[in-house]
Amino acid sequence: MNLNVLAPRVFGRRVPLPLVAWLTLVWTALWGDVSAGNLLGGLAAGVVVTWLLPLPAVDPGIRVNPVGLVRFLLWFASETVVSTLRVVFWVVHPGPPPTQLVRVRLRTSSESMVVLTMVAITSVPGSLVAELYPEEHELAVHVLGLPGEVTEAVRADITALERRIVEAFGTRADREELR
Amino acid sequence: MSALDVAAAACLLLGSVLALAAGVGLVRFRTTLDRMHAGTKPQVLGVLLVLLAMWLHRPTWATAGPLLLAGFSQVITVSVAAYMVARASYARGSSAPPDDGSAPSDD
Repeated sequence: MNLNVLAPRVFGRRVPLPLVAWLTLVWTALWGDVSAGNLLGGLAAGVVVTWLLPLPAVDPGIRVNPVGLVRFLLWFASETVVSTLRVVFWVVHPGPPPTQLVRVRLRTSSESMVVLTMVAITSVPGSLVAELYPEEHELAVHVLGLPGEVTEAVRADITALERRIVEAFGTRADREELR
Repeated sequence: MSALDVAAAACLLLGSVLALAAGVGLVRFRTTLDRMHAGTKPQVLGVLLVLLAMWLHRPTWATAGPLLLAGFSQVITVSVAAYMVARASYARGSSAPPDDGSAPSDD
């Protein structure tokens, strides 16, 4: 996309318009009222903030796919509830909970997809990313509350999660990679 | 008391129970990584339920905006913070439970 359209120069500095739009949305949401004054105020605040605190103009490599996003959010909601119950069960259960460290290989090579996958893994209860090995494309995932030998099950879960993330946020190249 | 109030009260109560479970887990679990699970996770759903309760109390667009932002920020920041702590703990090798059953020395 054209950099001059997405991030025009204002007083010698690039002002990324998507970021200004997001800041305007946040501003309006915080005021809680969609009025001309709030929109203009948010626009002004967004431009001032992005001009004063410039960020490098990079493409984050995220393309939101609405169908994939809704699917991902539904999965995320149900997974959060189920896993929270699991962790709470082990909180009240006597004795130490079963835990395990699992090394999982990710298939995607996009950094954005890896970051989103890590955020999702860590937000869902019962699993936690302990370390990322960028050279090997591997994550060390710490899981709590799954008794028995769960390595393969955890690997399958995370591969499925990665696919959901890429379908919701991935570029076309990211999606091709997982085929 | 309307149905909305009842729903709000239920969400608030459930959220508080989850926050309590998080606290109990922090005390009961033995290693840093285990505690991360308790401290970060029931917490997320708990906070989201409390936010939902607040919205059910005043179900307008004006309150939905800030509450949505708060919930979104919670999910994103909790996972980043959890990862930082987990990584530090994993790198120090403190994820193994103490052999003698004593309290871990790293907290």
